Amino acid sequence: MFSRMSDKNLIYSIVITACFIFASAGIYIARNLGYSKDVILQKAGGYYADKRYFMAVRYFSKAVDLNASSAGLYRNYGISLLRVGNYNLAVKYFKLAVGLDPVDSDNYYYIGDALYREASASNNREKFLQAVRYLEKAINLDQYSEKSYLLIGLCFRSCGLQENARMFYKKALLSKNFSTAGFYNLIGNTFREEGRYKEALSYYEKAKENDNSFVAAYCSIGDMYLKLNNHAEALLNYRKAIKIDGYFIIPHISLANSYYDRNNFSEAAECCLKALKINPDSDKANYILGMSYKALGRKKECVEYLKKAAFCGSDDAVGELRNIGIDLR
Amino acid sequence: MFYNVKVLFFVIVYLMSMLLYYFISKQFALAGIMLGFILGSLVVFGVIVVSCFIVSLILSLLVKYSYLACCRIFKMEKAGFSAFSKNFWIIFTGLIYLIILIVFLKVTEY
Repeated sequence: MFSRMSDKNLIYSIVITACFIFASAGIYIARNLGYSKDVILQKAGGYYADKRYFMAVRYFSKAVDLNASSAGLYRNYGISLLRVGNYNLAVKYFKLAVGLDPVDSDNYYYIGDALYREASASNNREKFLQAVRYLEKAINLDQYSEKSYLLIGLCFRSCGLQENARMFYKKALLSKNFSTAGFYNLIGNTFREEGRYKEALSYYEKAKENDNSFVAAYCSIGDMYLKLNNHAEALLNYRKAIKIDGYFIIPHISLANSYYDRNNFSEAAECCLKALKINPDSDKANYILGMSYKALGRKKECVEYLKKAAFCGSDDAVGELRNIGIDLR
Repeated sequence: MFYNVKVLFFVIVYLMSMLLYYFISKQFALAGIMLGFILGSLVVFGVIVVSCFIVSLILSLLVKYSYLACCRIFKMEKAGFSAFSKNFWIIFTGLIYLIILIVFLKVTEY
């Protein structure tokens, strides 16, 4: 190869390639000099408003390269990064926003949100606690920030610190700025997660007393009565939940599950069919219906609904089908 | 003939593919998607070379048979068109440079 380096064709080829490279570099530099920071920012803002976060990230990045800088820019850039899943970089830009505007509670909230999502993805307790620190700052700056209370509660609960979560939920209740029933329900959830069903029940009851159209409270009360082996009360509360909102699928499934556990398979099947009218892709409803049909000796329908459940993501249905001799692979 | 040292041509195309991949990956990295640099640039190189090869082959065949058809229609002598591989190579190298330029301009456009 090297003996042919003086070959004219080779020299011409290299000269053409070099001209090609210099021309491309020239076009690139000329273009970069021609970009207006304001136009790029406007385009970035447009993509952000349209929720096209990947393109928004691209243009925000370019705007930052062109030395654009403001708290709003960094916050929107951070939110776009959050939406595309780049949590580390999102935190960096939210912190830059905090640096420029330290009194805006939303910036601290977003840092907490990014850290919470990162912690959830990697199950990192330290990151949950870091998120808590920023969310506390958000709450100190803005006592009306309900989302901060909700998220800080989630962070503590993810670390197994239900008592700390309760403390913040109770603070939110004391401030009287938010939905009382909602926060009673959340406190109930923390007791439920700790296996303290009686205390959970008392808070779900308080939530119901505060707002007797709060469907989730009735479902939760029903679940707690089941845990305390009071099936009659459980069924009563599920039926009340259905009466309040017939299009909420959870009480239908809970009722079906209760009937199935008490070997009342035909009632269970009926409840599942109602649930599937609301959401035909519910893996739980399809699974319970399949199992009910199995118990009733209706093999064809059993397989049909177990298959649906498996396709909707039910691992139990996959296992059950394998037991029957059907492998979905 | 353009780039009669073919290995050198492919090395230069691979280096250009690495540059293209750098610009592409810079944007995907913002979305948290990180691929290996060598693997990514090999993929870009492979896609460019294979697609240009196919198009060049089709174009060379079209040119050859169009020329032969014209010779037959106008009853001309077929002169100096035996070097199919030479014409293919010229089309191939030109097409690769064109594709790299277009992709580069598209990826760096805002």
